[in-house]
Amino acid sequence: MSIHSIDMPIEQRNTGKGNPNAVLMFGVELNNRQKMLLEKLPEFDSRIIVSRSSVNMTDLAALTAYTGDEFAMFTKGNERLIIRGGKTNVNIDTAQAKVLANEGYRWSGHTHPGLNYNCLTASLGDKTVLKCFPQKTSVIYNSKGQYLTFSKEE
Amino acid sequence: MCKLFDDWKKEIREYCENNGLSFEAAEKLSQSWNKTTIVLYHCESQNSDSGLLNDEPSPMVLLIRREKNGRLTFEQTEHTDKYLKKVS
Repeated sequence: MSIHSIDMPIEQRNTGKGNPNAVLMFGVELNNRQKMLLEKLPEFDSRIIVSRSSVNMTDLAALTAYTGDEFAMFTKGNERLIIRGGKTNVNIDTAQAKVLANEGYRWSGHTHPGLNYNCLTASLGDKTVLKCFPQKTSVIYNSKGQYLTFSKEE
Repeated sequence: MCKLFDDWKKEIREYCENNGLSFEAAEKLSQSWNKTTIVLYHCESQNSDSGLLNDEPSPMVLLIRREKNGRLTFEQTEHTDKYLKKVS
């Protein structure tokens, strides 16, 4: 276990740091590992690969609460690829999605900026990208940390 | 189709019938869900090669939630009539 995976839950439990809803509604700080992630994702289409244990979807929701941008996460074995997007997009078209799928990545999920369930519905692009991967479902988180699972059309 | 929709089908059908909505149309909408919630929404059926480059959420049609007291609650949206209203 890395020091960062130890830091997050203790900070979050005691101060609300890193909690997406607290970040969004009360201006609470990101936790240390979220700050480190954001430093490495300074602009649209910044990409990093980190260990699986050092980031989860709630972290991406917190980053969305803080920045207003979408973030997408793909997982392969013990590594996660994180991509920063913009307000309503991430630079992943179907060609890139197929490349990631062929490399063995699974689409763990992504975020949609917003406060309620309206923003948690899948877009046409979400459904199309999911079809590029062998998995059946993926998740969308909003800026408060709420999530919904969506699936390929049957 | 998500398992929750199947589990709640009887109550959803009853709500639709009592509110002039088409359960058959509701069944055909896209579904997203978590442990206590189902969202029905309209998503076009064709593919979009631009993928996440055009990531506007689809219009939500009906929000269905199981409350802590066990009651199923429904919230309509500005898109409900367009996609679910029964034509008389």
